[in-house]
Amino acid sequence: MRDLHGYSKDCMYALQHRIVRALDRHAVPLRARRGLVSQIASDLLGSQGFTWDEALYSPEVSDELDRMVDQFLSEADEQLTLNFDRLPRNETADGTVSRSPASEPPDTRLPGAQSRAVPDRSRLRVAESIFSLVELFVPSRISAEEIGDALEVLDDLAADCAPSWKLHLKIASTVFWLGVNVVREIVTAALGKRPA
Amino acid sequence: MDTPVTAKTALLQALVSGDGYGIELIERVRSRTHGRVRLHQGSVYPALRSLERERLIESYEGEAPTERGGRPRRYYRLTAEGLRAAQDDRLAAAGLFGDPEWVPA
Repeated sequence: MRDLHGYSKDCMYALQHRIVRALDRHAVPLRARRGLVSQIASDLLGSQGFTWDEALYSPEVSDELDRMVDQFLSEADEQLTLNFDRLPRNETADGTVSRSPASEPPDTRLPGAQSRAVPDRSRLRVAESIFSLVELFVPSRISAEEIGDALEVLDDLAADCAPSWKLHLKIASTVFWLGVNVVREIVTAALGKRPA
Repeated sequence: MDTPVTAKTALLQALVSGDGYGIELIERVRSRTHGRVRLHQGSVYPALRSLERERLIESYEGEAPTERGGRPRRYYRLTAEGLRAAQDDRLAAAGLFGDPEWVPA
């Protein structure tokens, strides 16, 4: 039998991290939040080969999920009450304006999540080392854009508890396409014409 | 099977609804086409840079969140010329795909 119990602890943290990030990026009405939690949990478990029903039959997972959902929804009610008249102006209900793109994003995680490390960031150190090396040979604009985006994808994969081979595949494909795109840019500049 | 639109066309349409950066635009296209059009790294960035050279879009640097290792996001937005091109593409696609006599089998 697969080890759902051992798997559950890390992924409950990952689940909470993903929910908060989803709420941070999108305005989610209160009534839709329980559905959002279920959907994210289902996706997360599915990515590891577990089924939603299988997870719910595991007392440890289902109890932890229920506890976390209740805690999350009660905390969210207090912190993220949205005023739909103000949303188009990017303002929250308490009158504070959302962060601007140029400023450092605040830590919007719930109090419980703030005391925990973001899951599996250590798995990205290899990627950051490889990308730092590659960056030496790539124009800064291209590397900042493509490597930065790749790191965001890798961060999401790590938060989803994706298997290592997926991370390695993403790193390899990023390096490959980065090389291809740099050569393409050089050829385009040398020929002085617009690519098709 | 090939997707029904090119990367450049899809990106122009995605930018009509607002500014966006690389992976955000990939996700926007994927969700708006219900997964029917999937752009990938090998086509998106060259297409964006090509559109910028054609002055259909312009770019600017945005925030640099920690998960990007301090690298700023590069956001793209349509120029007036790009908006016109997007509208032309939409009209052309409507003419091609919007056959009122077509009935699903």
